[in-house]
Amino acid sequence: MKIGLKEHNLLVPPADKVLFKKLVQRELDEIREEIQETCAVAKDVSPAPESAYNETVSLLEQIPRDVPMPDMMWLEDGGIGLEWRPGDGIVTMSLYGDNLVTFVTVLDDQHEIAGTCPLSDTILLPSFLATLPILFRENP
Amino acid sequence: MNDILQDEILTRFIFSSKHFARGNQTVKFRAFMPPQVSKDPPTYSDSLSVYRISTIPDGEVWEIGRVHVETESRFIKARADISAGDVYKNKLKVIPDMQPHERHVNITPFPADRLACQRIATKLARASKLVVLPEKI
Repeated sequence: MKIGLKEHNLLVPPADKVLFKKLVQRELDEIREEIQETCAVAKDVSPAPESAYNETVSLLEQIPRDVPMPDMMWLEDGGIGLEWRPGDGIVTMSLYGDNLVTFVTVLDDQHEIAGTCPLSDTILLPSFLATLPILFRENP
Repeated sequence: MNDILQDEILTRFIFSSKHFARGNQTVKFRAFMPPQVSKDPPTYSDSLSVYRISTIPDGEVWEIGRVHVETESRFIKARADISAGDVYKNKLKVIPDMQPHERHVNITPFPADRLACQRIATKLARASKLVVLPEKI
């Protein structure tokens, strides 16, 4: 059993790209291992394709540096999920190796965004990612 | 069993430590994604299996999971408790199933497409409360 809890909303220093890549790779390696273990014993779980891992790295490299690392998880239908919890809100993203990203933000009952677009999209995706730092900015 | 009131608590059992976070006591959205029924195009089951747990002690809740949900190779690590009212807010119903246990119910109807499912799963995860399986002494 692992000792110690993940410190949530931990910022990776903007200049520390090496650390950032190491953290991402470590998380994805853990996910890969857990998927393999689960697929060996459960028939209703689909492994995420390698392209989903690559897409996750690519997406995380686009995320502004003043946004904490997300929680990463495997999805039983063959995807990789990302999740943030800014305050009382929640942001989720999912990637399945098909060059599409699905994203949802819920701040409260009346504030919600959701969409799907190609990872190469130059309008919707950057606009969505640009909202993330705002959500983590501390209120005065 | 009677109609399910708004303040009744339902629970979804969780098998992976990646699907919840102890640090900030949250349930990840994946816990509330229904099973996929086809890959191309990706479509999802219209129902999600949960259990009614109001009025029974915690030990009995875990026992339901151990007997009726766990398998030989997949073990429960935590659960996500959510009120029926939070389910109803998302225009979903809670339908008794009674199998494999009289407290088994289904949240339905989930939409078939991925984006709509993820939207609902995200909202349910936000509304839910994490309960981690106590460690055996």
